[in-house]
Amino acid sequence: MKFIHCADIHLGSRIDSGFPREVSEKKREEVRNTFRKMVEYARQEDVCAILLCGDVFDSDKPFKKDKEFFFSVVEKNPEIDFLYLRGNHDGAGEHRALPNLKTFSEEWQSYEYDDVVISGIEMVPGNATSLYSALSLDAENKNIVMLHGQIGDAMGMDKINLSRLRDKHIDYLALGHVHTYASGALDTRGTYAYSGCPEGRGFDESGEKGFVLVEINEEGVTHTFQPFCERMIEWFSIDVTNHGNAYEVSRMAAEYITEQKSICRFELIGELDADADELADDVKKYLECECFFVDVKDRTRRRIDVSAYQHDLSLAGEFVRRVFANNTYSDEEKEQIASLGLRALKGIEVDR
Amino acid sequence: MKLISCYVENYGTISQRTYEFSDGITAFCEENGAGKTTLASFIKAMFYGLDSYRSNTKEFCDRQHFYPFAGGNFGGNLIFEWEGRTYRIERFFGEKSETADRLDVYCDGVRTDRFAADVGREIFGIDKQSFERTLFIDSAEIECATTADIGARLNRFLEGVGEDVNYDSARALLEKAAAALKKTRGSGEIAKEKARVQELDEKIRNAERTQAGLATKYEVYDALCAEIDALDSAVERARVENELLAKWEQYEYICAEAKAAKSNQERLLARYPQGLPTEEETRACAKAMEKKRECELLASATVLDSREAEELARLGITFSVGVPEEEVIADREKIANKLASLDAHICALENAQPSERERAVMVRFDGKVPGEDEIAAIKEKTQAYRVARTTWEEASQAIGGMASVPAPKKGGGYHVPVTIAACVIAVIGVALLFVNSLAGGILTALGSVALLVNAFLYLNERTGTATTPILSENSEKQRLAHAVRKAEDAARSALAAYGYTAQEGVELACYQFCEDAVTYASFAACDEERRARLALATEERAMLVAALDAFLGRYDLSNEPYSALLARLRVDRARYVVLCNKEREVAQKQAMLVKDCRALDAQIVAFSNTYGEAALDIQQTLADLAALQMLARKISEAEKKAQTYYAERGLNVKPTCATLNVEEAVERLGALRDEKSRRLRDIEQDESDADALEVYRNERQQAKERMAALEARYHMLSATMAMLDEADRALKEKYVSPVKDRFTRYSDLVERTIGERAMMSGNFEITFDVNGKQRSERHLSAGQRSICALCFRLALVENMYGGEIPFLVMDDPFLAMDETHLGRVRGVMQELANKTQILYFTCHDSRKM
Repeated sequence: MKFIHCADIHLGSRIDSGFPREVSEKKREEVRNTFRKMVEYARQEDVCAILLCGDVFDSDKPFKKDKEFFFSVVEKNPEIDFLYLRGNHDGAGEHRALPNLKTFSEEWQSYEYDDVVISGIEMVPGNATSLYSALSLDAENKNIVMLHGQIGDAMGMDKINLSRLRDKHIDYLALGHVHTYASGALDTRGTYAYSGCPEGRGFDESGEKGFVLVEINEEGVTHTFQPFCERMIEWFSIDVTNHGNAYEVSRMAAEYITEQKSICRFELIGELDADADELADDVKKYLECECFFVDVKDRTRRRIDVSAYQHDLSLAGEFVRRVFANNTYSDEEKEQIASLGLRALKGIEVDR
Repeated sequence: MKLISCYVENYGTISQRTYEFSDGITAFCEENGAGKTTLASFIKAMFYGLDSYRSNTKEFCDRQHFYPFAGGNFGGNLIFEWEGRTYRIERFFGEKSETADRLDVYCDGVRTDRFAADVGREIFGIDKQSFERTLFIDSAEIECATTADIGARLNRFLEGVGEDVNYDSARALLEKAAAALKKTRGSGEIAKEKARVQELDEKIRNAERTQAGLATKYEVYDALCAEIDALDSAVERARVENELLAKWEQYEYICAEAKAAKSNQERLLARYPQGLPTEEETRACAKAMEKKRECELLASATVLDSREAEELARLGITFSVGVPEEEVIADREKIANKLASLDAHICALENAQPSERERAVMVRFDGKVPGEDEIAAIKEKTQAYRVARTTWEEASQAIGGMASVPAPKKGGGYHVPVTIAACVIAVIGVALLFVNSLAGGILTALGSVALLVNAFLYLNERTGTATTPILSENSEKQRLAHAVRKAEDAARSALAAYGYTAQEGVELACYQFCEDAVTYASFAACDEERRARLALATEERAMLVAALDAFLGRYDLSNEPYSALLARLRVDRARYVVLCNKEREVAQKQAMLVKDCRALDAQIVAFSNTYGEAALDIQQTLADLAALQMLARKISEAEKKAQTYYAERGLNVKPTCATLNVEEAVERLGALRDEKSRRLRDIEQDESDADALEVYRNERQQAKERMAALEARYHMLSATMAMLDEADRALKEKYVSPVKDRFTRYSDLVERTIGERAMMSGNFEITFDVNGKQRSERHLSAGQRSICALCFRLALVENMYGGEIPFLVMDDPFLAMDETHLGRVRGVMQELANKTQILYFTCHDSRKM
């Protein structure tokens, strides 16, 4: 028997991360497409049910079109059960009465699939600490528990105390809230896993995204993370010290790009000469044809050896010494000022 | 500070060579390429080392430049005195990197670790670049000083910046960059971003309002949906109820049909209180009635009609004397026929007309009938003529021709009428053979004879040609001709008495006369006979008429031809017989019909007595029977149908009438759905607008970030400018006054050299006092300005090194100076050498110091 565990789809959420409008629009569309394709995958793989562990919608009051989209997908796939547990984003959202849409409430609620029992509870302040003691599972069953929150040692709203869930006969703890796949052992019997979000929506959700395929057989419960996102968002930091040439840096960055359809951010770090050009714009131009969308942040520092100017009798020496002797500015600002001044004194344009 | 010597093991083109440096000026006058610049670079390298380079290093640095082509140790040593001690710097360099460099410094012959790589920095207190700018003086700098603004050059020298850049240009670059960000009229990049942020703020506010309004719209929409659903359900329920009601109505309709049929059935049965006859009985009764009616009709029809009765009565009167037998009537008809034949015979006799010839003969001989004698006489005369003529013709032939032949007399014209007359007589004779065989035989014989004679005559005439001899002139002839004419005249006159002109000849006229006489005789005989026969026929007729009149008079028949009367009598008799027979048959038939009617009537009465009078309305009864049969079937079917319908439709409880008007509700539903669609479109539009909210926020965030970055950059640029200003001010404060003071000291030297008193402004601008007026250094000659530049350089260097210039390396600085100025410079150099060690390199003796 197969189940899909996914969470944090965030239908209708904003897509920011400095994407241009068309990229944002595309990404929103991809969030929907990924969900639809996941359901298609479930149908092809004969998946029994899809466990939606919270935050299907980005808000309690999603747009009608997002609701229509979700419920129409559910309605048009009657052979698959959708077990929908609301999260902190869509906690007060409305349900729709559909035969294959199984919902949860503030009390533990279970659905049985042969000897598999899937239980879940929607966390509210009133049950955030008591839900643990209220959970009672039959050891003879294969138990899957759905929750939405941040695991840790604390208890409270949106917090899941893993230690309180140990020895509860849980075989698989399906979690939502964290947008990156993570898993670990719960106790000697069970494991827990965050499926992560199925599609990254910004540079803060970079890396492989997808869902967890939970398979249950005679031997027990196993789970596998299935990368499934339509377009991966990647974030790379590249040390460009001593590589002040934008083209050279762009070739270095291009080596990191795994797929042309990816959205990539390159953070250039390291130290460059004081009078080195800003790299971000040029590197971005060189990389624009390499992937779907690229963003380049120049975080490099300018290498300025103040001691080298200690005995410089020129205006540059006087300037550098005075800049670094000034306590008004931070070190980074001092580097910037010195870099600008030195570039200007060398006749290099400083307009970018 | 004093340089003592140096050993160049391998450095550029110099290899294993020792240079000794004396106090004052140590001049090296060598040709180009001998290694003057190399030695100068070597001295600098001993103090400051050589920069490393990489394959991608663009600048052609000294390490590359002076790396020995022939290989060997790259470097050497330098010995100098400083602070009362003798130092020896031994340096050897790697090809590219400092890592392979080796440095050893010896103080008074003992290796010391006092110095790091930058020996020069520690000794001179300045870095390599400053060392290069101060202690190294080459021709380019002096040359520049002669051609450009000395002040600017000196400033650049002081600032340590290049030919094209200085504080001002650096400041301009920074200002330009800052201005691009924040222009005075608010059109800089920051202002644009700010405007963009404001614009996005407005958009966001609008989108937020739209989004805020969505909740209410959702509520209204949901309420509308709920209302539609409720109404939809109500309509559906009402439809179901209406369908059930319709089914009940249909069921009731079927039941009503059965009930109505039953009612009709009862109504029809009520007509027959004594019971309902069967169809067979009814049809039997109907048949009896029909037969009775037919009998009655037949009886009424089986009588003589008035015309026949009248006719019978009339004929009864006619035949009151008895009905003649058929044979009698036939006999009388024969008599009548005979009478008719007799009438025709009499009529023929009475109306027998002579033929044309006979009539002509009768006219010709009317009143004068030739007798036998007269006929013979005429025949003789004619014969005489014929003889005379024959004689004449013979005589003419004997003589030998005739002058003229008398024209032959025409004859034979009578043959045609004679033939016709003969034929007529023969025909009449044949006809009379049937009536009177005697008369017919005579006439037939007569006609036949006449026909034969005429034919003989005609043939005879045709075979013989009579010619009248014409007498010739001879006398015989004339006599004979005269005899012919005489005989002819005699014959002619005899014939003329009976009207014959003999124009066609005497002989023919005689013949006609004879014929006519015969014809006249025959006609006369026949007429006599006709009269006799007429008398006989008339007598017989009278007898026949009397007999017929007597017969017909018994039946009151007269005044019509006998044949007609007899025919009528025959018809009347036949009719009378028929009518009499008919009258008898009718009487017999009527008797039988009366008998049948009575039997049928008894059957009908029995039927009526059994089923009542109403049943006698056979058509109605039959119709009722059929209707009842149909009604019975209909009732059965309807009841069965009702039961089936009831069972199949599950009609258990009849619903009350639907309270909802479905049509109105459907109409209302339509309106609500339209409203729903409208609101949905509105929501979709709002959602689309609200969707943009995130885009706007994102763009605003980006714009703010850009604006913050630009402001930070502007801030950095401003700070850079401020720091640059500050550094420039400090540099000038630090150097200008001392340099000015020292330059003033050198101005005496300048005055002596160029004859003018030079002064320096706070901005290193050199002016000259000419007759109490301050003049710009532009008024000086190139040589004068190069001397000023040298003095300024010396003042600056002296100031830098605290009044003691360690040494000066002058690499052929006065390359472009003329002999006059060079002479003056030599003086300055000598004075300068008194307190400063100078290494002077030149490639020409003329510039030797």
